[in-house]
Amino acid sequence: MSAKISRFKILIAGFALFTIAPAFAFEMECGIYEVTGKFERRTRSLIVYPGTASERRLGLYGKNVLSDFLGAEDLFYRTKVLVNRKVGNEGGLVKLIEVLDTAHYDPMFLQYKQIVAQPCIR
Amino acid sequence: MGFTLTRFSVAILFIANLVSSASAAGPERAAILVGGGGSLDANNYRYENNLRLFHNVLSEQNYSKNAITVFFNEGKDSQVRDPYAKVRKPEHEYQVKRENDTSFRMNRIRDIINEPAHLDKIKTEFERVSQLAKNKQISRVTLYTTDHGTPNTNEYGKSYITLAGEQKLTIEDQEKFVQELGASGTPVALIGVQCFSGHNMNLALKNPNACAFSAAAPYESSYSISMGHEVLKKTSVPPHGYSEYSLFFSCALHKKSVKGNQAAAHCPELSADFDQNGQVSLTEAHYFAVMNMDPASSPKISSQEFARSILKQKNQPVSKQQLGDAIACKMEEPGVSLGSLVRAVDPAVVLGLKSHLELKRAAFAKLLAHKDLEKDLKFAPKATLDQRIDKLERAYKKFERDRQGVLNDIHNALSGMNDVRKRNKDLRQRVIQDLLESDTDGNFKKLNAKLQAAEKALDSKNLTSEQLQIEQGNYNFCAYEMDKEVDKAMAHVSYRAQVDKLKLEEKQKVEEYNSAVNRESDFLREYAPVRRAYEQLEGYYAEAEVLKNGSPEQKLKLLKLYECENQPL
Repeated sequence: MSAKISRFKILIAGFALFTIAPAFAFEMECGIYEVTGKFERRTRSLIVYPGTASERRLGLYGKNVLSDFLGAEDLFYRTKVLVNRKVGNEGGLVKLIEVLDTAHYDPMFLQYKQIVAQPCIR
Repeated sequence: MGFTLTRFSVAILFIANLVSSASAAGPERAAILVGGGGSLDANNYRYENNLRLFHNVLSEQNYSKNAITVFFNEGKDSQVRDPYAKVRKPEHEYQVKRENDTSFRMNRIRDIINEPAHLDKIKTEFERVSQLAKNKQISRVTLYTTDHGTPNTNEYGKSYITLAGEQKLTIEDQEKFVQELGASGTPVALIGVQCFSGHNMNLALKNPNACAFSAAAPYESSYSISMGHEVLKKTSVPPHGYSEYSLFFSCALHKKSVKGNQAAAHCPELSADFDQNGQVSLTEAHYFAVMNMDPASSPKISSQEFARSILKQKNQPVSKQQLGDAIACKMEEPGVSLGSLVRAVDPAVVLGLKSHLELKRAAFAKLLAHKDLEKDLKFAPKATLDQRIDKLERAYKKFERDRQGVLNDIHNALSGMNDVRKRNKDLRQRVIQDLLESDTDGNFKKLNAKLQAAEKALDSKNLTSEQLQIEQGNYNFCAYEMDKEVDKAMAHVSYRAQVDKLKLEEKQKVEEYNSAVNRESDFLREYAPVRRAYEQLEGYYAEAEVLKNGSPEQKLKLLKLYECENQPL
């Protein structure tokens, strides 16, 4: 699929972000995920699909939140997070395991992927 | 082979029959429309509009109200999210009040809603329609879905259709329905306009009675109509009021002679009858959508996806050169060359293929004449179709080549930024450790202990929502205070040189990255019309290649897909 993505990958940037609204249900069952999002230091949140109708906030906790992000705002990161409680359309709270790297945002493609399923703690 | 050709003939004659008999098909067709919407907050008013417009065009095609079943969110009393509605309430995201207000109002399609979009209701309808098909009371079915697609992150091809609340319609549910219809030989057209809707392609590829149309690939989002769309300037389409693919697909099927309905108010005065046979097929509706949508989108049609999948299996790229004169160079005169495609003597086969490929050729020629492409490629006024194709192919090759350069720049900038991030992380961790070890008044240790306790609570305890918020508040407070202390410590002379160096590098790398991203954005937008036209050309080549060199089974499958896609609504 990577070849396909590289061929068809289209950046919906700038004005397009605000004029074209993707829409899908945001749903994360419990488990370990790779999530790409914009880090907002003020709220310690990872904002997934920012600037679109599907924008969702994941509140972050975990010791690595203190060290893994750069100081500059508006940067995107590929992260590994633990979802202990199911996250729905309203967003939720997840544990940052680690930041994997800085990332390039492309809202045309899925910004989160489950790596391992795990039972929820409630 | 003789048997296969006979089946070919039957298939093709059926296509021809469909074209002539479609308008007389009347009440024996059935349509199921699903607008799930998810939760109230997610039930956007465009789903309501999508359903109304599709219902309009079904009515224009003489579908009786009884032949159409509409499932919408929680049923007749569903509210929709409409930014222009008067009643407003603040929207809350996770613990953060957003600046935007959200408005809800009662839906405006109560007159067409039959049932809520609940899984049990939809399954019951599937069973009822299957039974009607079994009794030969209906001859074909359309399943139209508009809502949020929910991605299946383990396998995009098995993504879900979001129903009301948290319910989902799975690919297995749909396949069971398709197969039950298949048992009675009833064709079904699957039209998905939601995100990840391309999952329906697999259903069409696997089942002989199905064809599919989707707004997006299985791994892609689909989009609402953009504001200020040029084609819609003379219409009263509200901002984000439709899903883009749905609007154009439905408008293609709208009869311009019908006035007074929503379709008449919102559809542009453009014809989708590319082959000028007096009626618009589902294929034409798809291509009409392709050429009017934002070129960044990549809608799918099952015949093309099937042909691409065959070539992918063979790991065989297709080009004009490989196909030779048989198809590409003679696009100007398709009737002359198409006979050689299947190397068959059966005139019915040739007739059918000619008819189908002429339609696709006409749609492609329209796409090549798109003013954005004309502007980009600066075609000579009298350029032939072949000359235009040559220019398009050259432009696409340049696009791919130049794109790689832009992607390399982004990759390099990201890599540099990540390197700075890792060194920054090491430094911050060291500072935290130093603060813990040299903490004379014990405050930093206390903060750290409190932070760890909050983390532990959030990790494992069975907390109520209120407790969860308290613990997150504890965590955030400690993290904020610790961040402040760390930043203060990093300003100390013992770290300053390292910190200044890292900050400078970070600034440089971020600037490099932003510059590369802006270049990519400009580049992709500039080339979007070229990319869209080339994708269609490539798809056309793929179909031609299968028809020319595919196995009899592959040819037959492609013909079956044509048969299903070429029907009118």
